[in-house]
Order: sequence, then structure tokens, then C-alpha cells
Amino acid sequence: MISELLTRLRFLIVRKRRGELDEELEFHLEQAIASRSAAGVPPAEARRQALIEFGGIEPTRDQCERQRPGWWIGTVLQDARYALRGFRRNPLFTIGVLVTLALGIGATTAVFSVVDRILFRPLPYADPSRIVSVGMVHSLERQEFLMGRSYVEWQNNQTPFSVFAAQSTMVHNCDLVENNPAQLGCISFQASFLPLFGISPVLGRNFLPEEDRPSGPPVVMISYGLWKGHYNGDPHILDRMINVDGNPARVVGVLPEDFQFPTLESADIISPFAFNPAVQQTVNGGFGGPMRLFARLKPGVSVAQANAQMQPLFKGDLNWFPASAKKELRLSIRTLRDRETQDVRPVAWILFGFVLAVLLIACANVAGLMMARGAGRQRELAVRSAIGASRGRLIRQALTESLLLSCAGGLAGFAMAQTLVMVFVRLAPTEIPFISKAHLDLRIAVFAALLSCLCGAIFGLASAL
Amino acid sequence: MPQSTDLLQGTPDLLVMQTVAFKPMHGSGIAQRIQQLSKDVFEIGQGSLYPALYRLEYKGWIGSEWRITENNRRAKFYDLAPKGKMQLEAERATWDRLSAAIGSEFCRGAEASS
Repeated sequence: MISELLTRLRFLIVRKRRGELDEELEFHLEQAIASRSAAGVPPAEARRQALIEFGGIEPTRDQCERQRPGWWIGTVLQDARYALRGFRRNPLFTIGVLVTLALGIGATTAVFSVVDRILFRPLPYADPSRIVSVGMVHSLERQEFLMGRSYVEWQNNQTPFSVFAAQSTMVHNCDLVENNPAQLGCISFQASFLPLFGISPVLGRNFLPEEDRPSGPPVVMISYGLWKGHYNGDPHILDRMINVDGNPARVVGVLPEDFQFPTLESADIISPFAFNPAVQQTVNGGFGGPMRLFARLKPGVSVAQANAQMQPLFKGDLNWFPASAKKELRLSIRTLRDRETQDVRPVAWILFGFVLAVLLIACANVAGLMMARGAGRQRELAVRSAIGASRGRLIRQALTESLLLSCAGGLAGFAMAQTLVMVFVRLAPTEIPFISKAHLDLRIAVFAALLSCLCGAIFGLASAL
Repeated sequence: MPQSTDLLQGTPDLLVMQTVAFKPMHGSGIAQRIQQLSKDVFEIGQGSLYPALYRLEYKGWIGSEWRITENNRRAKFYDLAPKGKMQLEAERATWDRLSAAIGSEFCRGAEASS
């Protein structure tokens, strides 16, 4: 494969001189004429017979040319040049097509960059499909939560999960008290939290088990944004004492830049959850403090199986609740992906579907334009096929033209998508997850390129056949 | 395993290689030689010899060199390349097997009908 490519390239660069072939054919004819002359045939007749015996010289020359590996690359360039000349002759048509395509491809690419994370991209964790959100749901709280008292029960008796990690229910405001004070979002999670997601701090370390205990040593991890922004990326940030809400704490780690909380919240200071089982039966009316619980399924255990295995524990917990609450409570185990995107997925599909429809319409319009142009070019095509262009060659010419147009349209569309994404990010309601992360990268560029080729093939074939 | 040429389409190729296997020859010589060898059974238009030569040369099965003929004329001489030699052996073996098979089939057919 590679060697074939190299051969092609080599023969493309070191082209055989056409002169050699001519000389060779000439020699052949001379020999043939000479042998006939020697047999007594008059020169003119000898030449005639030799030419007949040989067959066509021009086709032979053409055939020899075609033996060269990669000879068709030359014809592709020829087609491309021809197409470009045609576009220049007809600027109105060209601009019309390009603008239509740029709009179609640009809009599709921009929307794709937004829905990609919701619909297609895996979550940024290790083996994310095995991570689940576990807990109870209530008609007033649709995201899984768990009370501290249940946590103690579940932790001791659960079977379907290999790792369990809790996080505080929501980000709360906290103040960084120092020379340069700031109000930040604070959250806490257990020492097992980062390993569950397969994340390690970009700087420093995770909480130690002894730090994740009631009245353990005061430590915090900070977000990448806080480190880079507030502390100007200070390389000596580790072990620095910072004052959060009046409590000094030592910085032990910095989270990775792209770390995303499974609840999609954003927080800058993370302290150990420091779960205290002893007090759970007394605080919060005997239920214990609320928390969010994430877990990794054991290998081979499905979400449904996990749900079945957790039912007895859940049923046991229900007994503590008053009858009115019992009716409303349900056990819920969802994959993390569902927790993060379940609510917006239908909307994302609809959005994506709409924009694909717009793209199809754009393609149809372009195909219409191409056909109108083709009708005006009947004569040209007739002449070309009269002087020997095969039907395949004419179709290839049409495809070359449409691919050139669609690639140019794709480039313009990509530039437009860049602008559109910025507008989206500005306008979008914050409920769309990951929207702030939407940007154009290689993946989106590949998508746009494929889209362009697809468009080119669609309207090219539509107009060529 | 070198790729096998399609039997019918490959026959001229085989003939060409077989011809230049004896000694380096120019195109015109090859054409004459093939006509003699095949006792005019194979009507190869002489023109179609050259694409075959070029194809074989690009495949690396035959080599070429410009030389001066005995009549003091410059001509392109072809000879069998090492890669072509291997290919020729392989093709010849295939050909033998095939013709033996067809031959025995014909003999049996002849016996049965007699």
C-alpha cells in the first residue's frame, strides 16, 4: 500500500519523457517498413502496410501513458483546473453556491459542536459507562440524593458496586479571606471520589484517608481555574495555607483543567467530605445529612441488576420515612451519562435534526443551481463526448466540480461556525450542559470535512446523472 | 506469493516475458518473435504490444535499456528482471497445471465419445 503510493509519487515526479516513447514507436515503424522494402514492396505501400499492421499510433501512445502508475492523478488535476476556469467564468453562480454551502455547513457544524458532547462524546472519565449515580429520588428532587443514615447502611451492605463515593449536595458560596479576597464556590467530596472517576490532580495529590475524617487535618484542593487565575499559576501553590471562611487550610492538590464535576456544577475549592457516621442518627431529624452518591458498577453487573440488588436496602430505609414521603420516594440508579444529559437529549436530537434538514435544503438548492448550469452547458458536454470523453470521465468532471465547491464551502462554513459557536455560547440558556465547553476542534473539523464531501457527492451526483 | 495475472488478459504478458527471457530485445523484435513463436496463432496487434511492455516495466517484471542496434540505430531493449523471472516461473507452473488438467479432460472426452 505504502510502497504502491511511493511508486506512484516517483513516477509522477520522474515522468517518462514523451520523446522516448515516440522514438521507440518510430523505430518500430521504420523496422517494419524496412523489412517490407527488403522484400520488394514499394516504399509508400510498405509504409501503408506497416501502419495497418501496427494499428493506431495515437491510441497506442495513449494506452502506454495509462500504464504509468498514478497517471489518473494528472487527469484529476486537469479536471480541477478546468473546473476552476469554469467557476471564474461564472462568478455569480460560484458565489451563490459558496454562500449557500457555507451557511448550511456552518450552521450544521456549529450545532454539531454543541450537541456532540451531549449525544456522542464519551464523558471525560475513565470507563465512564460503568459509573452510575445512585440514590433516592423524590417528586421534588429528581436528581439522586441519599441521607447519611442510609449511606451507612448502604456502604456496609451493598453488593453491586466496586467503589462508592459521596459528594456534598450542592456548591455553596464561600469566601477566600486574604489580601486579595474572593467569593468562590465550595464543595466537598470523599477521598475515594477522584479515583472513582479515574482522575488525578494535575498538581499535588488527592485527599488522604486520614484527611477525609471528622476533625482531620484541614486541607483543600483547588480548581485549575482558581490556580491559574487567582494565583497566577503559582508553582509553589502546594502546601500554601489559604483562609476559607475564616478557617485556614492547606492546599494539597490542583484539579485538572478539563475536570468536570459529575453534577456539572463548578466549584473552586474542594474540601474533604469528612463523613461522620456517628452523628448521622442524630442530625437532620435522624435522617443524617444529604449527599450525592456516585459508584462504579462491578464488572458484569448491569444497571438493572444493580437496581434489583439495591431494592432490599432501599425498602429497609423507607421504614424511617413518614408515610406521606414513602409514596413519593423511589430508588434510582442511572448511568452518569443519563444523569448529565437525559433531560436535554431529546432537545439536542431535535436541534441536530433541524439543522441537518437545513443542510439538505442547502444541498438541494445547490443541486438545482448546478443543474441549471448543466443545462446551459449541454453544448460543451456534447462537444467533449464527441471528441472522446467517456461518460465516466464526464461524471468525474462533474464530481470534481462539486467537490471543489463543497470543500471551499466547507472551509467558509467552518469559519462561520466559529462565529456561530461564540454567539450560541452567549445566547444559550445555562441549562444546556457543556455549552461553555463547545468549541471547534479537530473532531469538529473532521465532521465538517466529511459533511462537505457528503454534500459534494449528493449534489454532484444529483446533477451529473 | 506474486499476484497472478488474469489468464486471458495475461497471456500476451506471458508471451512477452517468455520472449525477452532468452535475450534482450527491442519492441519490434519482440513483435516479430511472438508472431513466429506462436506461428501466427495469436493475433496481437503490434500496437498493443507497447502498453503491455510499459505495464510490465512499471511492474518491475522487465527492465529496459537504450542501446545501439547493429544498423547503428538507437533502440530500447527489454530484458527480464529478477522479479519477472520469478513471476514467469510461477505463471508457467500455473499454465502447465491448467493445460494438463484441460488436456486430460479432453482425452477423457475423446475416449467417451469414441
